Amino acid sequence: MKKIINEMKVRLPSHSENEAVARTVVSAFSALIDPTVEELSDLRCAVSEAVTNCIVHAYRDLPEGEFGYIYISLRLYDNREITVEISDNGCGIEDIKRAREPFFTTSESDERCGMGFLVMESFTDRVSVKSKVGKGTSVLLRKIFSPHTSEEE
Amino acid sequence: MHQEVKIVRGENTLECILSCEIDHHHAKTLRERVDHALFADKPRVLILDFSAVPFMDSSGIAFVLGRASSARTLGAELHLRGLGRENRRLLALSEIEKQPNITIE
Repeated sequence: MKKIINEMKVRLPSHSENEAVARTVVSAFSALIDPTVEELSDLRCAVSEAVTNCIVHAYRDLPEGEFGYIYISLRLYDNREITVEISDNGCGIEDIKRAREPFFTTSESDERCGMGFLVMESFTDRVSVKSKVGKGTSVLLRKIFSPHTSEEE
Repeated sequence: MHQEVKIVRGENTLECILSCEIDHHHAKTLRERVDHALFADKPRVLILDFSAVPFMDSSGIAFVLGRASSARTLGAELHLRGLGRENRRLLALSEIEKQPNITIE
């Protein structure tokens, strides 16, 4: 039975500057178990996608100048597993299966490529999505870092 | 604010040396600056240099595909330079090599 060795919760306003803040938070939190450069880069990329989705999609209907909150909940387990849950109280996703299809995007005004979920799926071990229209979305990313081998590199 | 893109004009080339994280936050500014120079200069080759890009997510993919499309409207090629291992893996997800006017150094 795996045990939680550390946890952290962060709440960020849905401003695009906070995409970088979220990545930095995840890097700092993961440092405790010393992932490889590639593993950390993959996780940062996946988190960036999920947080960007909150900003671009979840809160897109808010009036100019208003913002919602992005909640990030991080957990580190003793089997070198990290989970990052990114949730919002935004518009929700009508069809999750369709939203996860590569190149699918509802964003027409901005230059988006609809690759967010594919990146999350490619760069983590598991992606779970729960959503309720009008209530919000929660994306759970799970990644297991490789066993620690000292004296290498 | 630090400079996010340095533009070097050649005879038939337009080189854009990018030096910021390419996420949704930065993509719009980069897009506007590169397209502005591209449509003003109308080079034969647009070069995007990623050597100083520390991070990129799918906004970077959209940025590259978008510039390939902009270049195509001018009959120009898009050449990608200085891509690190992580950024190559990311771009590979979009099968970027299938784009007719993109070459990767």
